[in-house]
Amino acid sequence: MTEKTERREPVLEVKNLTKTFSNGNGAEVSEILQGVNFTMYPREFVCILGPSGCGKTTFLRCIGGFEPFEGEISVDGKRVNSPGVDRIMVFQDFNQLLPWKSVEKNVQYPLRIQGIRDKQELQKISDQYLEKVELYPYRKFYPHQLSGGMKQRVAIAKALAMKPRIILMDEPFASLDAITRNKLQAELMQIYQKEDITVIFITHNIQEAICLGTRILVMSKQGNIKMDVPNRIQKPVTPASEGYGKMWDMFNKALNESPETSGQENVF
Amino acid sequence: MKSLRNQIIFIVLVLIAWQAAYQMEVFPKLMFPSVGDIFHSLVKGFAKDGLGSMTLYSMSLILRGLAIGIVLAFVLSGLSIISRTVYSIYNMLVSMCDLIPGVALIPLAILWMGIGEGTIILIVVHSILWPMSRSIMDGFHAVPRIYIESGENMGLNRVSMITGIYIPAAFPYILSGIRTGWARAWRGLISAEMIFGTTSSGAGIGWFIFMRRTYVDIAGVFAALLVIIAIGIVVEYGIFSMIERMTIRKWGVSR
Ligand SMILES: Nc1ncnc2c1ncn2[C@@H]1O[C@H](COP(=O)(O)OP(=O)(O)OP(=O)(O)O)[C@@H](O)[C@H]1O
Ligand SMILES: [Mg+2]
Repeated sequence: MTEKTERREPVLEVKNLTKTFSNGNGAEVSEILQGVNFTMYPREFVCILGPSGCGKTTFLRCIGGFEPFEGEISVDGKRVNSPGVDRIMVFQDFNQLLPWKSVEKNVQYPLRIQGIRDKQELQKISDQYLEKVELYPYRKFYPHQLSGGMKQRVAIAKALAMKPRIILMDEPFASLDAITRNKLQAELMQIYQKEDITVIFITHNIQEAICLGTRILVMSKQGNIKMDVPNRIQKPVTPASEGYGKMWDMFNKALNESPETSGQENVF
Repeated sequence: MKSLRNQIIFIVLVLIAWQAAYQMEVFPKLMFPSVGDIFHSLVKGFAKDGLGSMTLYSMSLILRGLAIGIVLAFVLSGLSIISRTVYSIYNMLVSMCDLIPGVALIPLAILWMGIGEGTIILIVVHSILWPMSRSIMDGFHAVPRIYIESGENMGLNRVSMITGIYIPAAFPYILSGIRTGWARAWRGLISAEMIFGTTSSGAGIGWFIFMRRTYVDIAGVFAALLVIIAIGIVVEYGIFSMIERMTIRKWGVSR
């Protein structure tokens, strides 16, 4: 379904990305990401699975430019090492909207910063994207008057309106109840099918990864990519879809495998 | 509305207790005027003794001092977000100067600058600048990282980062800083006026209080205190509460 728009120029290239955190006074250094290589093409929807603490957020934050790192990250062939409007982050935290701005102003503000001054145009854009996430009736609300799921939808609308090269999503639906989560997944899938967007989506929910991703990565506890598979299941994906069960089992096994190299074996 | 009713009941009770103490001569009558005396002095103060123009004069001084102090506090605290060096120096300066009461500077200020409006305004600026800067800087440092990262992600430059993220995010702190600054400024102003007396350009409430005391007009002293209290109430309920409702309440960042 993406044949037409797909170009063979990668939008994102990560080469030998290594990330270390020094604990306390720099004496202890822990290596979270170990020489990760990753190439991503426009229109891909990459889901990243991995056990808690394996470095998924860290990986995304490096790409977003929020963490210093070793190695090389390029967007459209240009090296990046600080935040930019070509990579917009949707955080897991519900409180990522600016509480002092109404819903529509939250969407408009970054566009104004990008130089769109015309009030009517700003209004048109924010209306259009809030419509897409079904929050148009709430455009005058303040973030504190919204539920967690609604806030995440505003954050997504805001990211879409900025038309970045890549949208980076760090478990945006993780703190939601199952029903809301399914609804938002479906909504995001619809948006993805209509809009020309490229997404990296972190989750530790296998179902979510299979439903959304066109490509699924699994990160190991040691902080490298141990699986990288295309997801060819026809969208929209349901647990009844052909091949769903097989894929689910495969990822479930990969996630629960005891680490191959480290000494900490499963106690059982 | 219920809290307003309770506040009014409280004030009425205080007045009744006051009047009762006066009637029962708990304190000597010369030192402890009746509610009626105070009210009478208040009317007389405005009608004959120039309390109105003195109040306006004090207000004009304090407003000028506040304006200068607030602008300076924002600019310097803002610079201290942009530059670590500015921060380390300014933070130290605030810690040192915040401890010095405005009154303690008056003798120096008189020697160096003479008795004039400029000197009083300087005292007012001193009273507000440091506590206000302290609040603003504390507020800036308490801004959640996610807002800052959001701002960076949107492509805000350093200046728009301050006006677009830091200031609104730190608003509860800033508001409390302005409240503290305002209160300190009043104290600084009244003390300066009492010590200075009249300057070439006018006299303020502090001077009025001082003069009433020399005439042993205790009711007059209380009348002036009432004026100060009234101004405080108008500013608190008229201005600060209104700003609070329009900002942090509306944003849901304070109850
Ligand atoms: N600022 C930091 N300083 C030191 N260590 C950190 C820091 N941030 C993350 N880490 C460490 O890096 C590792 C990976 O963290 P990260 O948040 O990337 O995990 P994750 O895969 O996103 O986990 P989860 O699924 O629970 O969100 C963890 O062991 C964590 O302790
Ligand atoms: Mg994480």
